[in-house]
Amino acid sequence: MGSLDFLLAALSPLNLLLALGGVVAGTVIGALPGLTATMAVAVLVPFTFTMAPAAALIALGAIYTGAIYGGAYAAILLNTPGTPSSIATTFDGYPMARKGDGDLALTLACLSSVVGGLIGAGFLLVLAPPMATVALKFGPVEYFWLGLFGLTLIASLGEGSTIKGLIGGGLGLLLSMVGVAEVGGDIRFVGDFKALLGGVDVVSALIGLYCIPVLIDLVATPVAHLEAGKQVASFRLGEALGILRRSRVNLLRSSIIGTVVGILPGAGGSIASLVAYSETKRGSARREHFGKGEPDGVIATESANNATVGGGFIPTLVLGIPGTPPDAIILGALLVQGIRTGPTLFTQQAPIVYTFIWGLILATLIMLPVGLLIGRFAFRSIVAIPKAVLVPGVALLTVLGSFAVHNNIHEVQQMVLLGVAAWGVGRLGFSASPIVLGLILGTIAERGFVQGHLIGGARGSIMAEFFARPISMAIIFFIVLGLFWPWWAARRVRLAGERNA
Amino acid sequence: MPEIRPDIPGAIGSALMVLLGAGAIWAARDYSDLGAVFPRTVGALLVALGSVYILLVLIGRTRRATGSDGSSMRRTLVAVVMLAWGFTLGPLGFLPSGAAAMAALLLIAQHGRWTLRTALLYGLSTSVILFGMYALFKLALQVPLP
Amino acid sequence: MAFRFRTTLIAATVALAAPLAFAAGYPEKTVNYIIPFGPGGESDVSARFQEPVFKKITGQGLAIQYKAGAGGAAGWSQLNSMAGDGYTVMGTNLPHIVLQPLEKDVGYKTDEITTVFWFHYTPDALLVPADSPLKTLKDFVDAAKKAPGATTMGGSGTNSANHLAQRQFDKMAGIKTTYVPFGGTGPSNTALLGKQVSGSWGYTTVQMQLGAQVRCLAVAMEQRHPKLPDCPTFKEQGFNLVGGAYRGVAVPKSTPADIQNKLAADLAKVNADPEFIRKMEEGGFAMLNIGPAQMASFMTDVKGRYEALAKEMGIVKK
Repeated sequence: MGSLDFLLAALSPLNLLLALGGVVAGTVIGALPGLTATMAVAVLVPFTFTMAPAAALIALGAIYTGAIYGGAYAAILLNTPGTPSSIATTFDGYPMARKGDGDLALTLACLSSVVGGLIGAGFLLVLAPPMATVALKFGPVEYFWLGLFGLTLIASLGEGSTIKGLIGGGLGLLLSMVGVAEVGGDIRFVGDFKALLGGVDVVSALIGLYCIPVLIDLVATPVAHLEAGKQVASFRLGEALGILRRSRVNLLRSSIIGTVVGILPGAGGSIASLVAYSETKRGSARREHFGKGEPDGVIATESANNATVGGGFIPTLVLGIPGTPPDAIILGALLVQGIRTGPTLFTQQAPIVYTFIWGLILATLIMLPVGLLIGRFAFRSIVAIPKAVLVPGVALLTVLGSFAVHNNIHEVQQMVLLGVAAWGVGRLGFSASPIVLGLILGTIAERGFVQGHLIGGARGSIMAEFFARPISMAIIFFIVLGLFWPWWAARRVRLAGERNA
Repeated sequence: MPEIRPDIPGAIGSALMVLLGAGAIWAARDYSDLGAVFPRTVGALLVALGSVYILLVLIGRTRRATGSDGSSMRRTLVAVVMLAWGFTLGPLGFLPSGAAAMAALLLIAQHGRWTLRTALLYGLSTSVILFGMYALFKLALQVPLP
Repeated sequence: MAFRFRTTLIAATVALAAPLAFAAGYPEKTVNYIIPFGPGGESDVSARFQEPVFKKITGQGLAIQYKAGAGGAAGWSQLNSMAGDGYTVMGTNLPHIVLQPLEKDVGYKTDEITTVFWFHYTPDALLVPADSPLKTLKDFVDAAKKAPGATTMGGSGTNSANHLAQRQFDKMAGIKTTYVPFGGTGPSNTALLGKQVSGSWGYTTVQMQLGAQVRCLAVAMEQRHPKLPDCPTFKEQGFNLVGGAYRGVAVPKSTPADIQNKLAADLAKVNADPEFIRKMEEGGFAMLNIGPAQMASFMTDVKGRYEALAKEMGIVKK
């Protein structure tokens, strides 16, 4: 098999150096709010063109996984996601920091990210071609139902009134329709703004929707956003490991959710972490604690989002279709290297692929000590920076981050417009997460619907197309389960209460 | 006992959403059959849900989220500065618009008194951040900043 | 008087020479090459092949960026608002830039796009999964005739080259198939491999990429592609279908003429590089060389053809 040879190749000094450097660079970039993993990969790709293929892949993979992890820093300490994948980490990470458990949260994030990343990479190593075959079985109709499933998560996110959450989701859906319709070619909701023809850019929207409202609120009071006194910057490693062991089911489940979501083309860390979060919350006995600083929340989101790194490479390498947004950019880098993706990649160019996968695994392992160390440093410095400097600094990062992905000024404008709008509706009681879900899932759901409609019509029965396919039926089952479970569980509690009264 | 105060802001927001939903349905009348399905559905959803919420507010079954404290003036100023930055980035270029915006934000964010020391320290560190990021992106990473 | 005249003469000479001198030095730094599609597609791949050869010939690199959206319209509608100094160029595609403005207002008109060079085309190809019961084009036509509308054909985009090919062939063969547009060649290939659709309208490049997993029923070329000897042409099988998607490089309208010419000349040199030709053909591309000299007549011819087709197909809505 020669698998050991590839591992040894991955351990070469150059590759190790790239892995280390990539993880450090990625973590730092991901930690800075506004600078996303996608941007990090986009900006650093040209530098990999002169490297050997395996080395280039290792460098990019290391940056990618470091960035996904790094996003947790800003999420926990600043309540702004460092990258879209860490949106859900703010839900419980920041409250933990406010309670004085910021260092614990950071350590948990690091450990969970490493475990999640390893599980995702493990699937990539062992099961890539078969899993890719599974991905092929997902047709347009399945994606439609998946999109709907994602939208039902809005109900279970439970921030504030459910109706307002659904309205927010609807708003997000509307935003996703801006631009030229993929099927049919209608130009929708564009008016005279030709810049909107390409639709609302998801990354800019995410940066705007999450970072700008937080930025605006930062200036409201002179109180430091985190009290420096309360934070004792230690590792609390023992404590963290204890919590992790208690939550091992959560950890495993979230990592697998992350891997699977990563495999599905188009869905990335942000969706994975939201799904994992909501599933963990739903199944937890401590449901009421979520959102107020529950460690399980951080564990779920951080393991899921790092699992998407490995998972996302599966369709990218096997099918040539990007599993997650950064994968789209990595595909470009692969093409320049002359690597043609496809099932033959694993057989004809096995050395490159397997060396890369081992390198990814190594990078993930390196993330453990590196992450903990950087975490401690970041912790001390972020808490100590005076707010007055923090605000312009973060603002600059949001502008840079939204510009640098596509080098497009319009995206900066989208970012600020959506951000200010989000703050506005936030004041009215509509939170950002449902809007984001609507935006990301709207495209997936609509595309699936319209294509499914066309295919179903051609095959003679649209109803059969949508309802009679095995995978679709499974997804529909989960949707129904998800919608009725909270009601059912609450009813059981009430009945039990009445019986005992 | 949670205070049952009518959620007026929520109602206003919902009214806005109803308008948006109606707008979507109206805009969709020009679209092809398949292209109009989602806009119409989502528009209808927004109108329906928004109306339901307004109804809930009227019959008094909503809860108003606790108001936020702190200076609304400063918040609004930040929003304005960010918008201005987004739209002057092109015409003015990265460094000029960035310097102006960051200086403005610095002034807005500082609550305490300005001493010579704080002015120098903050001004310097902000400038370092600005020029540092500029150098990093434009020179090291070859990103074509405006 | 003489003094004035001489100054004017010198000034005029300098004014005339300066742009030439300027163009002679072009390119003096990296040229931004914007692809109005996402990474991984044919436009991207061919640009990536051009890059090292361009660097070899001119000494300057091509910085490839993406500006995807609206099937390319997001990029083309912004082309003329970009700096016309020759350091921003954009990929262009036919039939897109002719068909899109015909159908609706996409933010640009065909004549506003200044293409300096067309360097290749990808011939249309009708593909089915390798284990499909349809083994020849005839099988395909027969099956479609038996069940009108039941055959689903995937393709990239609405009113794109794939879509046009499907409509043209349907008309020629007297059949009715259902076209299912996908977001790009990538998703369309996935659907084909996953058998979500019966077949797809792609290009020779797709056949090369997917290899033994798909079967090519026909290609739209005059003669069989050198690297695809087993794939018969439409012509051989009785259908006069020749064409595909053409790709070229365009500049903002405001770019000076001599810079345009120099760019075209450099691109022509890239196109003549034997290694480049080999890579392109192995990828399934078919070479083409249309420069400034032939540009006007080529565009007129192509526009006429597409406009006629569009009217026949009922694409022109306005």
